[in-house]
Amino acid sequence: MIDRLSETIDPVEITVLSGFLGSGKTTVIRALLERPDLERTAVIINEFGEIGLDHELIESSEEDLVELSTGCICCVMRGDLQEAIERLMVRQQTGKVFDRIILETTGLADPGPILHSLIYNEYLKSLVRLDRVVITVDALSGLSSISNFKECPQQIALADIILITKADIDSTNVDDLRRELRRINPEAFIYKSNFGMTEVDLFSVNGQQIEKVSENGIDEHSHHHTHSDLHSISLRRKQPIKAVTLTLFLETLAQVLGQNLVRLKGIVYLEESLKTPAVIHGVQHVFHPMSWMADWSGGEPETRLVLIGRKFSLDWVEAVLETIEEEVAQTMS
Amino acid sequence: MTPERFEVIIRGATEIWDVECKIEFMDSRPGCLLWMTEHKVSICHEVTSFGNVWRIIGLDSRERVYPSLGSMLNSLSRILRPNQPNARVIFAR
Repeated sequence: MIDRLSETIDPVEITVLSGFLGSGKTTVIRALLERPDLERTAVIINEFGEIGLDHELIESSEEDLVELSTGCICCVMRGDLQEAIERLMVRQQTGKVFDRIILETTGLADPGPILHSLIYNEYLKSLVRLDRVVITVDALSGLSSISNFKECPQQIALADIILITKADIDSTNVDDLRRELRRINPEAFIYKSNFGMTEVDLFSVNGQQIEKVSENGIDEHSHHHTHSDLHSISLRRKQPIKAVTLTLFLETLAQVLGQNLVRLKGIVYLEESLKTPAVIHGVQHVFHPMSWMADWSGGEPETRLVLIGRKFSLDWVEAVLETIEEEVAQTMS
Repeated sequence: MTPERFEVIIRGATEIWDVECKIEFMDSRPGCLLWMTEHKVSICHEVTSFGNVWRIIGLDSRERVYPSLGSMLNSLSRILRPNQPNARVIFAR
């Protein structure tokens, strides 16, 4: 089946929807599936626990829905994820056409390994193309979840888009929550979502916007501090960086930081390509292929990297980069 | 390599790795003694006529010499955390 599928199917866009337990993922999916323009959307649901309920809560034709209920998708289900995607693709071949797949993870999932599978597994890449990662965070209990459950900030750190849910019930904490979300992931787009209805069309935030590294800084005036140990740092550099330096730098970061590096994203001013900014994007120790922006029309050429993780400081990251730059320069001289 | 930057790198790495140790840094050159209870590890950096040299004298008193920061940190990690595997970066195609 594998050869037959990968030879004949164009990759379908897949959106990963995650968020802590009870944060409103299923409500968001229900609202999305009511949209006429999303009627050709397939949903993969992963439920944690012996009794799956989420699939009962989503009104959808049975053939558009695949349920995974034998465990948490991030640790034991990656083979099943491939199987689920294959099953959808077989339907695609037999005339049921999907424009998009939404993969809902369990509330306890670390999306990192799932993203690794979607961007690194050659076979999965021939079937689906990772489009965006959407995370729901509950306005009522989000701050508490960030403080008390390591999965919650891990999910937030990997988001392209964060939806603050249930703010219609109580918006008291929304400003603090927004600051905390910004502290953990300064690059994500943050919107509110009430009863699954989002402030903007989730799919109108296009890939270019998601790839773009925003100028959003970290709000230093947050009055609320959670106990999450995730933090972000921003590294800026006016001088161009050699490609070999960048490779050694990323390798050293991955090697030393290990699981303490959750996400790295940014634009690089490469010496070998001065006019075209390079975009790098990594989840833990796995990096996407480098992509290129047309030019520097968004501002002055400079490297801007955002690292999200634990235990490292901007001073340490800068010292490592400066040392590797010196070593490369000495080797080349 | 300045003594200050050397200190940032070594201190930062031990904090990232959660290594409990006391570190004595040298003022005049990039080097340190890293004490773990009664055992010590010596680390220093020098620029020679043939390039960078990082030297580590480990818990076994054996000297190891490395030409780059990455290879030195890789070795130091194995000495200070012998049971922890090192991560490797993967570039997805």
